[in-house]
Amino acid sequence: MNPIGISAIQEFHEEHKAIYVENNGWMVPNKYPSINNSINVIEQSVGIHDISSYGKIILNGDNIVETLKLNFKFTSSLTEQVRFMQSIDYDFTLLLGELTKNEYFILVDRLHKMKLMEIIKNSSEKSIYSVDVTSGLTGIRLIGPMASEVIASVSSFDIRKKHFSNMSVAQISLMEIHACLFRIDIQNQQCYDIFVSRDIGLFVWNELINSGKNFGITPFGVEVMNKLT
Amino acid sequence: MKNKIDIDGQCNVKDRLKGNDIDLSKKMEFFFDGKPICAYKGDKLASALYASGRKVFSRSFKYHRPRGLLCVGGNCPNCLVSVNGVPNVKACEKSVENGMLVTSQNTWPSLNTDFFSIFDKMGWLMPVGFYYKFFHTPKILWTIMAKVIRRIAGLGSISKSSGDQGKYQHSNKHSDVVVIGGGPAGMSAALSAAEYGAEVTLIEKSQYLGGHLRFNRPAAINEIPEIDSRTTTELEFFLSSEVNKNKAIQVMNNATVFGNYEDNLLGVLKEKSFIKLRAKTIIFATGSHEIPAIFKNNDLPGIMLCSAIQKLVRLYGINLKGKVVIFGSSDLIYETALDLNDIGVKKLTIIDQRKSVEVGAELLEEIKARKIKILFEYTVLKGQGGGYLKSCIIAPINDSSKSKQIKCDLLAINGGVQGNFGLLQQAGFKFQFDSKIDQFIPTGEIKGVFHAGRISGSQRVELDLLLGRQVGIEAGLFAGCEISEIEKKRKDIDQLIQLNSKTNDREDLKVKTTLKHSGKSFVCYCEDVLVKDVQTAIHEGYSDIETLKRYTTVTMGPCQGEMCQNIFAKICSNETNDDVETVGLTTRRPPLIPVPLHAIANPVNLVSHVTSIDRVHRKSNAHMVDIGSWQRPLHYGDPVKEALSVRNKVGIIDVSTLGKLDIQGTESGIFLDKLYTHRFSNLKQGKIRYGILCADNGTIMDDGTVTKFNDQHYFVTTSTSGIESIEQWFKWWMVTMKQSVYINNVTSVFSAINIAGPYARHTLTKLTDIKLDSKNFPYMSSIKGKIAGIDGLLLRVGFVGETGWEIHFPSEYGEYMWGALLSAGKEFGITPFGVEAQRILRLEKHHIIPNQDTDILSTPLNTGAEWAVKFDKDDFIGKQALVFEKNKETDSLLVGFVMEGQIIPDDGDPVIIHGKPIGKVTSARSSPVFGKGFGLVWVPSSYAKENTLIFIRVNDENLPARVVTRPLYDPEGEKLKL
Repeated sequence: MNPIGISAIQEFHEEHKAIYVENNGWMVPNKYPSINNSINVIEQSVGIHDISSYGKIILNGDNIVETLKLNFKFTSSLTEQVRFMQSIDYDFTLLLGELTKNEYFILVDRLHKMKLMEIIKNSSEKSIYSVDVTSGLTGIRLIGPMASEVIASVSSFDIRKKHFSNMSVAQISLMEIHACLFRIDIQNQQCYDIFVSRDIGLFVWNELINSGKNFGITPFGVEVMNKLT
Repeated sequence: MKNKIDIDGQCNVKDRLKGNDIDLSKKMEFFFDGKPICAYKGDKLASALYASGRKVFSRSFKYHRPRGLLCVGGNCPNCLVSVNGVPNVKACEKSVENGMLVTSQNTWPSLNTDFFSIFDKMGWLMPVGFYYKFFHTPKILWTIMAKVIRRIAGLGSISKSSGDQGKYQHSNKHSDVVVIGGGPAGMSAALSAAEYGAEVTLIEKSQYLGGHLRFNRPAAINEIPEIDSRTTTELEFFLSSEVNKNKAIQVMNNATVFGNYEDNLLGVLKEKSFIKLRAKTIIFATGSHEIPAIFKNNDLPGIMLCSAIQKLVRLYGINLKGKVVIFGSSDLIYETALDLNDIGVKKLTIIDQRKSVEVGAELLEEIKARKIKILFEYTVLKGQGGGYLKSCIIAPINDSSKSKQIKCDLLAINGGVQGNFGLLQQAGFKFQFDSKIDQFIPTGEIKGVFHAGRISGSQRVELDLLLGRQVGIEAGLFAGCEISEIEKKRKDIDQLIQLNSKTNDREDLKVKTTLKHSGKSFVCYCEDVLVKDVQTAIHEGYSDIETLKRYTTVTMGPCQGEMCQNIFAKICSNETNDDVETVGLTTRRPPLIPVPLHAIANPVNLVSHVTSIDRVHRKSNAHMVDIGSWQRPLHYGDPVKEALSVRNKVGIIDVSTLGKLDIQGTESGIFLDKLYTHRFSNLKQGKIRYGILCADNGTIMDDGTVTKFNDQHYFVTTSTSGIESIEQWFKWWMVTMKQSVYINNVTSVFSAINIAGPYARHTLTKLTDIKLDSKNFPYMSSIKGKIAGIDGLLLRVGFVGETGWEIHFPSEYGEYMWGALLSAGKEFGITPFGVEAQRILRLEKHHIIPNQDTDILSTPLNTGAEWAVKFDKDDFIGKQALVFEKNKETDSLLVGFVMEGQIIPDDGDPVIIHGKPIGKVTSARSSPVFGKGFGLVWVPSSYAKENTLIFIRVNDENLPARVVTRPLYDPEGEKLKL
């Protein structure tokens, strides 16, 4: 039996008879045959997608950006809280979000997570410290014009565009639970990535689905995500 | 109950006028007390019922007097009904829906013939302060009478079959500027703030914007720059269309702000939604409302506020007929008379308490032109009629001997106006009484909070608009909008306000009369409180408005003072000879309106944390239990069997809930030395050490293990329930000590399974290449490696007292790892065990659980863990207190015990010596290995000696037990090291 990772939302996926694909050791839903998850629904209301399998790394220390710049180049604006960085030597991109002065959150494709950890370890000369929190955080993506309404229904965070524009990150209270919230719009669609502790991941997912009913929330899998991107 | 009705025979369009809010082409139907009622689209329950001929809508709280429509504005309790099982719905605010089942409440057997109206004749039995004066001796009497009184008095009751049990949608909203009130001042403020770039939310409790402009008699207004209108009707249309088309303004109709909380947080109910609205700045344009006049029987059905009549006519097209008397001391009574005359009411008499010179000249001229009768300096002494008004007694204001009777079908009254100031009170505003307008107005300033319009004392539409515009600018500025030439704008608007304020100055409206109020002259319609009740209470010594409120219950009913605050203060002023401002107002706290509890209740606060193996436990029929915020398996059916399996074979337990902290940084070792009583900086790489965390006073906060990966990287475990507070504790000290340390909570990153028992090594060997023999992998050491193909961490620890390992691994593999271990251990009889078996096993080893076996006085020294305290360290948290304790005699010690008999005490049972409690059991179980009751117990140090006889009180019996100072199982710890 080969080890296969499952997210905290597996129960929902099973209940909705998801068809899975394997993503670097994780079983992720490709689609839900019983749910109308066409792109049109998402583009008009809001879609919800399990992104728990993404590589997630916390960096602590001084001069994190300067250190990363030794091996990565920025491919988005330097002034934004969230920045895309492209590896100079390898073919992968990461997303860097600034949580506090000495704390950054990295999102990276799971395939390249180990390489990234290795690069950081070799380049930091003990000045920055990394923790792989991939397994500890459930990732939930909300995408579509009503995505902000769903978040507003469960969080007191001011999600208005002028306060939380594209390429932003914040640590927020979501249903009285600590969460990291990224806004990285995709194809001009509002897109929010929420990260919460795995042990309440299913609860948060279900509550978002419940709160999103009024906004036509629709779960979707990797197949639709690929079309959107 | 009929399910279908023929309404065609009942509805006659000719009976109704054209109303702004109703559509006479669309008929609707509903039931009132089982009878079908016809309505039109846009009708409120109250308007439809009134149009159908219903005069009595409810019965009063205490006396069960008949009550009819009074305010038609949601301010009084007179039209409370039950709708589809939901009690206390205001009929004047509830829109008709087809098929609604509406019933009267607090009546028996019926609304028209209420048996309990007998209490109206027994008022002498129910004086003010009734609840404090009667039925208290003997004590039991009150417990009986309270139930009787609650049955007879009160409001509607909640139906268990009510259809209103559905969930409220919770949501959060933010806005730069929130304007409360959609009247002329509110709309003007919203437009002004939006003009300068603010995002505005405008909240209006009714369906339409416009406020009083929608129902007041249309009038011409003075020209105001940028306002494209000449009459109030045109103004209403102009402003509402400007607001609705302005993209920066979000209008929330049918929404009520019920509370104004800290930091401009507003609680809003909008139909089936509960909205937490956060504003940078708030503008209160909540307006004012008319209040009743005081005279005997001022509550009779048929007596109605002037504004109520205007609403019935103008909004709902009610075709009022018959003889009408209009009474009051403001120009509104003339406007109402003209409105009634407009729809064909000819028999009108105006009773004005003022002198003729105080009336607006234009109005007076028009009234005279229509030959409407006016009596100046007259007052109404009494309303007359059984269940409905038939006549009223009037008299000159200073001579009741010249009274006379006027027959009438309707008595329109005006007792002045009262500001809707509840939310402003909650915002912190104080109020002063302006005798010129006979009204309390807010005084002082609060940063970021503004008010405008009638609530601010305006009496004219022009001033409403200007005040709205002024605060709109200020609110926009406060919200961060850049406004050019701000000083010029301020100056311009100040000038306009001054210009329009001049005409606002009026003679003192306070009418002085020597007449006394007699009989049932109601101050408080909600609680049936009379003028004489308030006077009596003051004479009994309750002269302060707040204590008077509690004693009389005035302002404590459903209207929460909307109809009675002004009158209440004035009566108090008259009786105490204090001026009205000194008397002041009672405090209005949130919620301002009744809010269903299920609208506020939020189920998300009950979140439970589950491990990555949770689904497997449930499928295995585990009995789950809450431990801290986590759900854990207590057992899988037989905890004793599970414990024996660990002792004799091998068992696994899900310990993912252990708190886990990743500590990195150059000063990690020094940092941990400071926080723990033990020393960790000298720990060898890969080794594990037990650690106790103490508070400053040396008492135990938590315990756990510390594993050293390298000089700059440690892995800390804490108790299940302690992780959140310990993480905060660590981070607080990290900041305080300014050391190069970084702390990350990785509790959810790693799932953990403890495998223990004589066959633990055999089982684990099948899943890993790591050499598990004691030479390569000794007790209290760690190795990273592949386990069942997964990168993990093995910690050789022994909480349950057997050879065992904690396996920490990425959480996504929780179910997989659990299954892999069960498969590998099948040939050795592996058994999953739960928290109960773990508790038995650890107790046999005398391993403590903080907060179970310890309390706020427990230290490492009195719990037998002095070995874990390194007094030779420079400093650590709690050191001073522990040094002090070490140098004095210890009072109590935590030791083991074994029962002499078969009975097992409960956790918490007391230890009794010579009839006195001297200690207590912290944990007790039956040992499956030894077949005896045993546990841990706090005893005085003189009893903490091996084999000392103590007595534990169990079920009123003192049972003998012997103290044991060494663990029951494997006291030398040899099995841990095998």
